[in-house]
Amino acid sequence: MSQLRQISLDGLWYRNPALVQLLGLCPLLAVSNTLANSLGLGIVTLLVLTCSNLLVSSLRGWLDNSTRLPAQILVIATFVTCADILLQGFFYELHQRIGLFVALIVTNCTLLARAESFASRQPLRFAALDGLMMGLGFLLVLVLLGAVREALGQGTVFADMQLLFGESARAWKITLGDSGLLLAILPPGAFITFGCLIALRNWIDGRRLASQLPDDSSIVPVTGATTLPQTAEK
Amino acid sequence: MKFKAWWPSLQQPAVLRLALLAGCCGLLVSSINFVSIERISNNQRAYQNQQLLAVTGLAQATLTARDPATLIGGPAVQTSGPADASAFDISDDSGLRGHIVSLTSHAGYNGDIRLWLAFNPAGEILGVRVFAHQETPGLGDRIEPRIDDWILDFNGKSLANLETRQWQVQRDGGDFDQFSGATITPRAVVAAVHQGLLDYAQQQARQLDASAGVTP
Repeated sequence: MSQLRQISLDGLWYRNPALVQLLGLCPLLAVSNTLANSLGLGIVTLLVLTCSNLLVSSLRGWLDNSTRLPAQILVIATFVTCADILLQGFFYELHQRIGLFVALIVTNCTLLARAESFASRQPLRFAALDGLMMGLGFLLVLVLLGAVREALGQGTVFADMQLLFGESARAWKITLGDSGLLLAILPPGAFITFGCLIALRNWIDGRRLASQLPDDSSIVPVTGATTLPQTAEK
Repeated sequence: MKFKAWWPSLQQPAVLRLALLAGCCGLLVSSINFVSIERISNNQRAYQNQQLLAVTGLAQATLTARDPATLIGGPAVQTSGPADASAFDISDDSGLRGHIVSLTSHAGYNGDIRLWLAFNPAGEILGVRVFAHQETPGLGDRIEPRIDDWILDFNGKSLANLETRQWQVQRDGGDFDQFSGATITPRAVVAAVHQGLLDYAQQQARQLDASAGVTP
């Protein structure tokens, strides 16, 4: 049970693929100009990651070291191609917008990293949960980035949600302002917003670590991407 | 694991297993492709029809593909259309409502600008839409209707109600707004639309001549 909890927390927070491992940034930065696009790509990535983790895990006793990596790439590419075809069949307009980056999921290092470093050595249920949680961690960052950039850049939130949820979702659009900050839509805006998100995560994590320290401690713990301020807050 | 029993035996060479896996993957992809292919081509057609109807401003119409050369002239005289231009006749219950043709401008700020030009048989513009461009976001991309209403200014214009001099952006002495910071993009679009109408008028005159020649 605690391992399931640990896997979930790793994916969502401690080892979040986007904010901590900094993997899959190409689609993350390119697609996150609106919330609808972000959510679309996030969901596809989540599904592909979970499916590929499941299959890689179930094949783990069957492949040896010489064929493991090509097999993993093959599995990932297969699921990505299927997702691409299904997206064209059922969400054609969404595919017109994010199609290029759906195909590029194959090159998203998160998927191969999870397959190789986790799923290929873990039982099915752990691998499935890991795929789900890593995918969810990626999706949440993507959606947050998309929401912030859409709000800053276009002055709207939830625009074009009908691409995902059908015509009734057209009314979900909330207009915050008339015009937006162009920078937020352009690629530099993606980098700046993403940097702020990483900073925010590190700040929260720093405070969390600080609060765990005893008052008189002079030990400064250093984890993956987190550095603690020298003066721990009390 | 229970399912190990029907997994092929562990003694097989690794390459054969990889090949088997590849075969299974290929089978999965092709079967998914097989069941979706018709849906996808329907979607493509519906999407294009919807895009084209949005250009014409008509709610219901039938589009029939035709040879662009018979509409705006053959490749020799045609300056505004690319080799892969396409054209459609727009008709509804009341008959022929107009034509729609794809044009390409090489005069964009950054690469070709491709657009649909829809006009009625009299040569009056029903609508113009840019469908492919790489103009600067925030400046040149105001030719897209989701960003700016500029492209709608063409509606109702024709060679009859605007003189040649007026088919320019205001900075060049014409009737069309330029964007602050981006004159090249609107200039290219205005020139392409104007050329498209000229080509259509020329082709009409040519056909008229031809039919006049046949009937004494």
